[in-house]
Amino acid sequence: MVEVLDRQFLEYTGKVQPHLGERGANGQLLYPYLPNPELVEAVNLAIYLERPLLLKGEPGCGKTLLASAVTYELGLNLEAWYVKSTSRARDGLYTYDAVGRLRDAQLAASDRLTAEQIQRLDNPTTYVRWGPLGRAFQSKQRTVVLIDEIDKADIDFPNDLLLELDQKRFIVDETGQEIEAKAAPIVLITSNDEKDLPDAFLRRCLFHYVEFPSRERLIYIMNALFPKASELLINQAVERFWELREEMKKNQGGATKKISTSELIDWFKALRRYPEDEALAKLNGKLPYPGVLLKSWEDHIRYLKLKNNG
Amino acid sequence: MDDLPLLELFTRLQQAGLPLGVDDYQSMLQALQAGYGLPDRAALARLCRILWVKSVEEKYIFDYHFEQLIGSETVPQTQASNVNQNQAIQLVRFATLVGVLVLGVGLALWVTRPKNQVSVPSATILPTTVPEKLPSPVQQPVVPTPTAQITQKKSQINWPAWLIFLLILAVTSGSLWLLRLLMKRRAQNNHLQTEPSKPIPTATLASEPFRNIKDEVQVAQAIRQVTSGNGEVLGDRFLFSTDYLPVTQRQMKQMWRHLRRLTKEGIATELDIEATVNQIGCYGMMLEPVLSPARVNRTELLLLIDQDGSMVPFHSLSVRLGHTASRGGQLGAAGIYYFHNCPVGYLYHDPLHQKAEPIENIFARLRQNRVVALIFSDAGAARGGLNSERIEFTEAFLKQLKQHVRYVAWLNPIPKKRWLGTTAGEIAASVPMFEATREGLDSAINALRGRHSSLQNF
Repeated sequence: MVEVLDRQFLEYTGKVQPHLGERGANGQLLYPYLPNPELVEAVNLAIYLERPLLLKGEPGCGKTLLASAVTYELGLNLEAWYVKSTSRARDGLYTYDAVGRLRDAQLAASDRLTAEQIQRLDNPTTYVRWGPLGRAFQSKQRTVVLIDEIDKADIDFPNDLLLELDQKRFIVDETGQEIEAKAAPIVLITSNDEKDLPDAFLRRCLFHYVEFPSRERLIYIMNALFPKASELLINQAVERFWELREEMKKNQGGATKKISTSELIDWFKALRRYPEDEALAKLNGKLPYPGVLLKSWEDHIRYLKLKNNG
Repeated sequence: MDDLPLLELFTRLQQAGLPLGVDDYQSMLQALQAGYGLPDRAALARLCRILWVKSVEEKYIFDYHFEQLIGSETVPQTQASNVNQNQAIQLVRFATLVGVLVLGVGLALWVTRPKNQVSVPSATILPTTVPEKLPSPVQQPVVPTPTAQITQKKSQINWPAWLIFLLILAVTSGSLWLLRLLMKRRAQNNHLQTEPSKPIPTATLASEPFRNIKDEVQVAQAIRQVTSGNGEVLGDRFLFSTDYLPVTQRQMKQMWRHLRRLTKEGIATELDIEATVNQIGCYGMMLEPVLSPARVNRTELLLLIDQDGSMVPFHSLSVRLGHTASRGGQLGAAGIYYFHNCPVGYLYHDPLHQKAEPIENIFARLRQNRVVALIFSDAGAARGGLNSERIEFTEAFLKQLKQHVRYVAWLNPIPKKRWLGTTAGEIAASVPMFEATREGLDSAINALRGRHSSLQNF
C-alpha cells in the first residue's frame, strides 16, 4: 500500500486529440478518439491499479483504437499483439529461434564462421526474439500493451498468461533468464465475446463494456473526424444510419451483427466524395452504398422490404 | 474508516457466485483511497462495477445487490418528501375525522330520526380503525350530504350555522383527503412502472432476461442449502420460478473446460528439438530440423437434447447446457440436435422440431476420432414405469451412435433414486448415465474423456 504513493502518476483524459493528418510512430494516420467518461475512468483505474483492462463490446465500437488513443495522449509506446487462433501465450513474451541456433552450430562445425560470430553464438540470448509483452516488460518507461481479440485463441490461452500479467515477470526457459518488468505496462485486452474467458483470468482484469455511442455522441464523433464536412450532411447521415440501426435492432433482437461506428465512418467517407447537395439527395433516396452497411443478403432483403413498407 | 466499507456488498456478490477474492476487495480500497468512486453514488457503483463485474450477466447481479444495499439514488429525496406528505395527510385525515364525527353527532342531536342513527355508528367506528382503504373515507363525507339534503327539504328554516359550517368542513376535508389518496396512488403506480427499467442499461446488452440472472443467484443459494442439508425438497425459494436449475451457468462453464483432448494433429509446424538433436546424434550432422504438428484440442461435442413432454420442466436447463457449451467453444462442428423421447430416424436442428435431418446424414458428417456425444434426457424416469418399446429404440440408437463417436454419456435431470425399475434404469445399464447435478455433470465429462469405470466394457 505504501508503494502506491510513489507510482508515477499518469492520467488519461480523452481530451488530447491528434490534429487532422497527424501521423503516428509507424507512419499510420491518427484520428481523434472520443471516449465516454466511464471508459476514461476505467482506463485510469487500470493504470492506477496496474491491472489489465478487459474491453468488450460490439465489433466496430472502438475497442482496439482505444489503445492508440491512450498511447498518443500519454506519449508512451504501444506494443500491439494481435491474437490469432494458433497463438500461444508464450509468443507474446518471446520466441526462441532454435532452428537458427542449429544452423549456426552446423556452420560452426564446418568452420564457416568468424571468431566474432562464434562468440555471438555463445551468448544464449542471441536467439531469443522478444514478443510484445517481453519488450514492454524490458522498457524503462510504462508501455501500453494491446492484446487484441483474446477470445480468438484456444480457451487455455488466457490462463497461460496469468502469472505474467499478475506478477509482471517471466522466465525464458531456454536461457534461464528471469525478466522482471521495470515499469508495469498498461495492458488493454479486447474480446469480441465469441468464447467465454476463464474465471481465473477474469478475476485479474478490470472489465468495461464499451457502449455504443448515443445519437448525439455519434454526431459529435463525426464532427471531430470530419471537421470540413457540413453540419447538415453529418446530421442527415447519422440520422439515416441511426434509423437503420434501430430497425436492425427491432428486427433481429440483437441476435446478429448490427451496424457499427466504424462502418458509419467508412460509409460517410464514401458519401463525402460527392458534392454536398448530391450527397444529401442520395441520403433522402434509396440507401446509398448499402454494401458498406449491410453485410448479408438477409439484411439486403430486409432492408428492401423496409423501404417498400416505408 | 473504523469498519470496512462495502464489505456487505462484497460478501453478497461473492455468495451470488461472482469470482471475487480478497485482492479484489483490496483493489477497491486502494481505488477509494486514490479518490475514485467518492464523488457520488453513481461513481461508487461505477468503480465497483469496473473492479468486480466481469460480464453483462454479472452486471445485473451487481445492480440488484447494489440497489438493495446502497439503495437507489431517488430514495433520500422521496423519503424527505414522503415525510412532508405523510404529515399533511395525517393532518387532513385528522381534520376529516373530527369533521365527520362532529357532523354525525350534530346531525344525531338535531335530527331525531332513526334512519340517521345508522350513519352515526359507522362514523364513530372510523376513529378506531385507521382509514387505510379508499371506500370508507369516500362514503363517509358523501353519506351525510343526501341526508342533509333531505332534511333541507323538510325544514329549511331551522338550519343552524354551525352545522352548515361543519358540513362544509367535512365535505372539503373529505374530498381533499380523497384527492391526496388518488394522487399518492397514481405516483406509486408511476413509480412501479418506471422501476423495472432502472437496472436495465440503455444499450441492450444481454441476451438473457433479468429473471434468468436472478435465478442464477437463487440457484446458487439453493444449491448451498441442499448440499448443506440432506437433499430435502427445496424450500419456498423456488416458488417464484418453475425452472429446475441444479447447476449454475458458471459451474457448467467450468466443467466444459475439462472436456478437452489435446493431440498433435495437422501440419507439422513446430520444431521438435529433442527429435532433431537425436537425429543429429544418429547422423553426426544436421540434415533437416524435425518438425511436428502443434498440440490442439480435438474434442467436438455432439449434444442431443430431449425436448417437450416430460422434459418441459428442464427446458431452461437444456438451453443453458447448449448455451454454455457453444460459448465455451466445445461444440466444434458437431453441434446440438433435438429429439423427443427417443431419436427414431430423425434428429432436429431446432427445439421446435421444425428442421429434421435423417440420423444417418448427421452421423456421416461426424469425425469419429474427435466427437463425443452427450445425451440430455430423462429416459422415461419422469413418468416412471417400464416402456419396453422405448428401451428397444433407445438401445438401438445408442448402438448406432457408439459406432460414430468416441464416447457417449447420458445426463438425466431426474434424481438417481427414481431411475430404479423404470425405463431409465434399463437404459442406464447400457450407457453411463448421470444425474444433472454438479457431481453428475463432472462425472459425465470424465466419461466423455474416457475416464469412467463403466467404459471398460465398450
